[in-house]
Amino acid sequence: MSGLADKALTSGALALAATEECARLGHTRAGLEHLFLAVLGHGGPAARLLASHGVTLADARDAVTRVHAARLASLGVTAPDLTRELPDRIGAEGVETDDRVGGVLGVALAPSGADDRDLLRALVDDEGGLVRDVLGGLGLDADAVRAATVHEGPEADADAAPEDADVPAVEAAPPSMPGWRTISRDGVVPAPVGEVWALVATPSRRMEWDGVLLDAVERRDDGVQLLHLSTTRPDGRRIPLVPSVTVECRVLSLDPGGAISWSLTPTTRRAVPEVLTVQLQADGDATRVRLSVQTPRLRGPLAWIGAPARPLAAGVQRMRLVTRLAGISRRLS
Amino acid sequence: MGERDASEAVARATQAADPREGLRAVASLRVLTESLELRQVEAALRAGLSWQQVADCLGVTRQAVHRKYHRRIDQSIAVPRRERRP
Repeated sequence: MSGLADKALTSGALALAATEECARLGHTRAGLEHLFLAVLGHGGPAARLLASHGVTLADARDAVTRVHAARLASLGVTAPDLTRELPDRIGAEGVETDDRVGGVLGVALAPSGADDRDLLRALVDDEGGLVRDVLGGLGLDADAVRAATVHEGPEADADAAPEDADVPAVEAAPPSMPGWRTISRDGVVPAPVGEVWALVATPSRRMEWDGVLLDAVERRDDGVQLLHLSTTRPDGRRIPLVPSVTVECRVLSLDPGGAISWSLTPTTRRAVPEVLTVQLQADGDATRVRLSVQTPRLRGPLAWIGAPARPLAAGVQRMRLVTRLAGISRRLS
Repeated sequence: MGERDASEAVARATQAADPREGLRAVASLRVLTESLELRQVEAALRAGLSWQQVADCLGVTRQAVHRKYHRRIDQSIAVPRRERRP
């Protein structure tokens, strides 16, 4: 995938995570403090930088709440606890994103070689001072954190940064089957690998992390799991024009604690089958996760006819992987 | 917050040594107000109030409150469909 497309997807994933953090704290508009939390949860170089100073996502959420409470206290206002349980589905739809969030994402990640450390630096530099105050609330010197975000790009990182070299990498994506296309997405979940494995490998817990794409999950008499793709809104009303699709889900391979693959075969004729793989790798108290989906390449005339739609289909697949990753994180964070 | 408390809050904001601090405090107050309004709207809808009744209490039009909140509220709330006036 091109660097530009990867940055666009990273920006989208961070914006989505920011709205999740906003909803979790009971706020209604995702701002720079929620983007800071999203960066921390993203597990990239910026998150590793902050983790090296002992910062956890839970601590950072508390710090955001305390900063707002302190500002309100200066007005003589006592803030109530606004945190709330997120609904079963990712319910951050409707959470508006502050214009500053888009602006910071667009500027910080634009340059070649930029990564989320540049985004963290932009957040610290913001004149509103909110992220600086959050870092202060975490016992950190904002200027020192800012200085640590300066880097020379991916080539320099590859040669230096022993702490990066110590971070275990997820094993390579599942071997690509002849005639099949593989799309992968990596992320970090702030939970031990045992908890992540228990979530993804337990059939009865499928809805907890894949629920945004599913209406229901049932088990057929022969043991095959049936996934009913989402055709209704969370309040039960049917989404118009969306056909009912049921997918047969069978475990293809299992490496306990490490990886699991399922074949997803729609019961509808002419629907495209998939192979979904989850690979896990312990990273301290967190887990590196790689989600991969493999779909068959079109052949013959269909390949020519379907070529213009291929980038769109690939983009949809990537966003579905991002959504699944977000589902795993939200359930365990 | 009573009338006296609100006056004190305004006084503190306008008398802050650094006006930036006062503005930042007001920004946090806006976050609190928006959050409380969302929760009150959700509570009203769960109690069976209509969008029109919510709008009446907030002093805005039905269209304004629906546009602002229909996607923000907990989507599991079964909001009654609009009733026709007799």
